Amino acid sequence: MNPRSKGIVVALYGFAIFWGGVILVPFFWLAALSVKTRIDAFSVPPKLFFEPTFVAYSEILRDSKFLSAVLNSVIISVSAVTLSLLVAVPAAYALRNMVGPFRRNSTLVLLLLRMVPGMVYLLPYFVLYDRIGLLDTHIGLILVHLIFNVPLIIWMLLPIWAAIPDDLGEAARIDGATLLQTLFLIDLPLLKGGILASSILAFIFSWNEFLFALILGRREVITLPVAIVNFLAFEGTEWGKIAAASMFIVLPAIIFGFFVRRYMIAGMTGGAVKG
Amino acid sequence: MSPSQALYEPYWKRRNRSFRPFLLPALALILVLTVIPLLISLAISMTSLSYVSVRGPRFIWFDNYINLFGDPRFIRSLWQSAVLIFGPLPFQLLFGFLLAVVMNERLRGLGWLRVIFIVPMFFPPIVMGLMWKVLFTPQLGGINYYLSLLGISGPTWLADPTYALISIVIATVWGWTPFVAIMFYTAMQTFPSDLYEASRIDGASWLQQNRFITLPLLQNTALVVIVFRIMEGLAIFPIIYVMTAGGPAGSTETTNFYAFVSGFEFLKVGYASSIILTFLAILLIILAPSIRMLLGNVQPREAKL
Amino acid sequence: MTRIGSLIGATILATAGIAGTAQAQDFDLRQFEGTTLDLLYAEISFIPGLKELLPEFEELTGIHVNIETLSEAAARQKAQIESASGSGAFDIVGIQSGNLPLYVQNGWLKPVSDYFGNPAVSNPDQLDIDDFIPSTLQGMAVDGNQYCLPFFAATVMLYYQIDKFEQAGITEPPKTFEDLLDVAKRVHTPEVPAIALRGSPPSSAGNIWTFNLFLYGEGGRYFADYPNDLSVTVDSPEALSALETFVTLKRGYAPEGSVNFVFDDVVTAMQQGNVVMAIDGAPLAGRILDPEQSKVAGNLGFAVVPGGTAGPKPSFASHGLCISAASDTPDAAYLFLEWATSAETMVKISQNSSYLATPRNAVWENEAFIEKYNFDFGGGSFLAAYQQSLAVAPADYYPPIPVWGLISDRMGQAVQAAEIGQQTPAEALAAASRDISDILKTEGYRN
Repeated sequence: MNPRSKGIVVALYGFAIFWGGVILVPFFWLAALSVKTRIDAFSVPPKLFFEPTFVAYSEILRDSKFLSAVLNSVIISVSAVTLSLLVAVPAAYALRNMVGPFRRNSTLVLLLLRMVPGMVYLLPYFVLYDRIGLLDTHIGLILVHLIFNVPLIIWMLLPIWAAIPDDLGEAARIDGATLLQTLFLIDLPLLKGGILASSILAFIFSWNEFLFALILGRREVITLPVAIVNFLAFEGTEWGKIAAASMFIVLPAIIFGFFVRRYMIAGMTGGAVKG
Repeated sequence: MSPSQALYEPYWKRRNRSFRPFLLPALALILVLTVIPLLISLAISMTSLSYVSVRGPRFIWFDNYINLFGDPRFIRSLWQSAVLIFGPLPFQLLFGFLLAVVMNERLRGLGWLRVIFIVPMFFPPIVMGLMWKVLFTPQLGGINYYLSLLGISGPTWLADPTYALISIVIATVWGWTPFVAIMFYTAMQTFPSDLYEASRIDGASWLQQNRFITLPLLQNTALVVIVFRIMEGLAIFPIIYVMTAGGPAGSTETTNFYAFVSGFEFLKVGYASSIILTFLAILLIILAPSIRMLLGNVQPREAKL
Repeated sequence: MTRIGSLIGATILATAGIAGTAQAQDFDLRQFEGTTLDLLYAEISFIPGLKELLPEFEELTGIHVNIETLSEAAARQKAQIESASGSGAFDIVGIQSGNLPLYVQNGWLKPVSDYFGNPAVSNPDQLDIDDFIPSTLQGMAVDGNQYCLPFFAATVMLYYQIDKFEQAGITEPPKTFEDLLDVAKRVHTPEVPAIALRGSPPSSAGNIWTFNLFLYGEGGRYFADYPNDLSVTVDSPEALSALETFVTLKRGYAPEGSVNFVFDDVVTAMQQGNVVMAIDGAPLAGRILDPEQSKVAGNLGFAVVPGGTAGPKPSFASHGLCISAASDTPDAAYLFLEWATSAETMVKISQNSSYLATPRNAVWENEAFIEKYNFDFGGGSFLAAYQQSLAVAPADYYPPIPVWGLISDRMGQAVQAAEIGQQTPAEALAAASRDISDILKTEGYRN
């Protein structure tokens, strides 16, 4: 590329630093709120230097409801990912190896249904779950998460899988290996990275999900995002607790995200972007 | 199919059939989990089911759908959805492009930028909403205080219909610009370097290269970004839920949100179903051409025969 | 036990902090041993104090009670959809008087009056129904059936900073809306605006709670003659005058962005001394008067809200605990309700938390209660102002119509639209009137 003029280089640095600030300042503001007293939080002009207090953290960590929300979120996210993998990996295996119209239509259906806004499913799921007793259960929420996570994983694995030559598998099959054996012994070891990454993205989706948890949970199955909203109490919004609890949701998502950032695009767009 | 026919079956068909059992569980599961609720929703949308009505529920065919178009709140919600879905797009594209260029230049000491991008990309939408609510609330956020130091008298943000929309747009630009930037950056990695080389020999400046080579090559990616942002534009539900709850005076109520309120707050269940299904139809009509295009890209290479 | 007797007993128990002892019952208190009851409501005062007392109830009866609290909107929505689905997941739901007609129309509740006089579960001395302030019972009753037992008598008053009034030479709190505007003008400064009023959400949980006192104070109404004539009258000259006053106050003399002020923001503004006056609910006092949290403790005056041509019409809502029709264990639920809303329990809650919006006369007369809440900093007695407000507050502050949720939302949107200048008050009211008529027609209340 062309050597850039000094002005351009300065502008590029400036823009990068500016945007770094744009991203980080709001986040730090929220983090600061979690260690401010109520009086500091509401003081004008805003206090940039204050004595941090960890009262909010110690309060939410002693709040059994909050802790059970953490547990629920973990149970639901982990189970949703595990179940999704069990269904999605074989499906991706088939789609990777099949040809023709059936394959094409199946892909189409899986992807289209993923695009439907969650709100469409919300009311019927409430009605349905009410009838069959799945409201306020882990399995109820997990099933709904499958709608979004199974296509997500298929979507993400397909291009990765397609890029792996099938010569070894083909040879194994000629030697009499079953498809299942080929899948487990040849394909999966090569796909470890992709599976891990897609699992993490699916985990983050489940971890962050709010709408279904709000309506399909009741009192046993309250997840973290819903628990946070309940801190917006009528007689006193506890901003400190909200901010502290926010950190509990945000940090795992970001930390996991850090490890899969390379796969992020494929996961969100199914490799639709290749330049 | 008789064994003799199977003998003449093409190889790819036999091969497909042997793989089919791997696909069917996923297909069956997703169909059951989506089609049944969709049918229930469709059925409910053709009834007058409403718990605030003095009449019992009746089957009314498409009356709910017809009434929708005489409901100013619905029409307004469509417009506001459009603003919130399309409003952030130019900014996300512009800033995303600029950030991608910055990354692509491989300037010394900017590796941290890509790490920081992770923060918004994985941020839970509900927390994003809470965070921006804090920032835009005059007593908590300090945005207006700092603006006033610069001699700017800040607007009342969430208390003003126009600025409330702008506030949500700002939150979404914050949330999804890094994603767009990474999309563009990934695409740029694949651009042939000889194009740049040739243009350099022809004496093109850095700006000209970006303007006449990079930008045109990014067209396809931009299209993909736009489609995904339109689809994911609906993910703003939790953001609206905590930032404005559709207010003030309904000025940030999207169709998605109106359906939620109609169903779960006003208990007009039949009507709420018709709202969201109509919205889905509109969405699919807008997206139909691009979905084909996306699918073309998703195809993995055909398996060798 | 006589009423006086239970009163004295309660006082002694509360002041001495002794756990409650069983009163003379004709029935077996432990007949529902092992039952679990689930209760759903928003976290408003009384509920946290009640939670603390649950072990006592469990010890007494062997009934375990779970109290689930959500944010106000989420609790209301959840209670509604759970009731609509008939799940019976919550045996007891808390509701406000404004929502009761919806529940009654759909048959979601089992009236508590079914149990009155039932010797198997009810102890008349403990129930002591005549001890409730009549308007609070009335708000929880439809067509002669008592659906819920009230635990919270919500009304509003005018709070003001005494020294700010003195500095401005104001000798007594405003009595009329005109006075209020005048006082606002005199005490208002950009740093400390004159008044905080709720602006959000656009419903009876928000600005309609406050706006109706202006509407009724001017003699305005929602309907020409409910329930006989449902012509919508929210575009009347009285309503216009009310909205103009409200909008003038909020646009000219309220903190910036106060269209988004929910109850908590009004409290915080007053607590921090960021406004001179506030009109809102009594639970305000608990936090505002806590010297640890408040900058204005010791400097607060209390008064009945101003009125217009129709006199003062303070906001009013009765919150009650109700038995879900789908509950498997309604009898045990009743047993709990009677205990939870008894004078004895309420006195204890008034002592273990900042709960004072009690619907029971016996609590208002209780010495420990009076001692704890009788604030007077030279600007009038708090308890006196509160009781006066309750006395003049209209029991039918919200029209008892099942579709009130939609109507109050529409009206709330109109008030917000006028407040932020999107529409003039006249335009906003005309549009609201038209839409509310449409709502009534669509839902079959009117032709």
